Amino acid sequence: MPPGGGEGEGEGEGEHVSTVQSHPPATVRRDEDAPPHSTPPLPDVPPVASEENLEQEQQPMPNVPEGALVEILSRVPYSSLCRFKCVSKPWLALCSAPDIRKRSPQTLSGFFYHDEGDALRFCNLKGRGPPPDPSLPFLRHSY
Amino acid sequence: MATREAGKKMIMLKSPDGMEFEVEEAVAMESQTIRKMIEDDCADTAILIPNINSKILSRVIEYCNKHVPTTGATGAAASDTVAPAALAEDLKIWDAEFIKVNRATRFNLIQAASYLNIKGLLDLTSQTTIDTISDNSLEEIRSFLSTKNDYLPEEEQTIRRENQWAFQ
Repeated sequence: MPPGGGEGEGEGEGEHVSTVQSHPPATVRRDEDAPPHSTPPLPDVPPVASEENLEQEQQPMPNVPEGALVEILSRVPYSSLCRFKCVSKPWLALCSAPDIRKRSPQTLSGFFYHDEGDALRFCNLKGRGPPPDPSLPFLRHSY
Repeated sequence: MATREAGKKMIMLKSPDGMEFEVEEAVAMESQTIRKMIEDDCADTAILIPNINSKILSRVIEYCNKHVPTTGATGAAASDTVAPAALAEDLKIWDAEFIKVNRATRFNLIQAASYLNIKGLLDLTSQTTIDTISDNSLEEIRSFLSTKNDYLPEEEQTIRRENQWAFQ
């Protein structure tokens, strides 16, 4: 990291898709192993194409500091964490790390209730995902 | 950075690239890491903040200056005349402006906030990234964070199958 560079001038660049600027070919990344996807990866084009910004966007990005990544991942819901396991092997390790899983915010997916016939049913609040088996087969019948 | 005012204890913070920042103790104590150092009497001389360069450190101090409880740098009158709700709204707007930085800077801010243990800054900086990646496809996330997909095709198939529910 170069000391003392001005970071202020590049406001919000990176996330915006800039359509007016040509970008250096080196910023376009392709991933051969990945399945084809309808949206192409966003090009790393800063709206302000100053030398420093180009350098900042191209050079340090290959290593997002792990400390930062841990902080980000420990703040996403568990379902996102499971999805992110598919990003890469290091991400699989990170997303499976007990301390990250423990900090992952708990969200209510739904609840069980007894219907009139006294059968156990599940009300899915998220409106997506497979409903769990109301017989709770993962519990041992020891009580 | 901060100007010296009578009766306010100043703390010297030093970045690895040799810059020194004189800040009010109350501002520095927004960082739980530094607060602990001060409480343990380890802050007599300049505190070296490892791994955080002057550029990032100055932004962190800027954030702490703004967020220190109103008895501090924001001016003595502010807390008396401005309603707390308006103050909170003002802070929110300020935060939104503060976080308009490029990704490299933002990731460095996250790491700095993590090391210095500044919860508000950590929440602010990481939430912006979470908002960006949580609805993106895997391919977009890899691109956004420059992460290489190192799965073999069959490995990826397996891991996707195991976590299929999370994609629905």
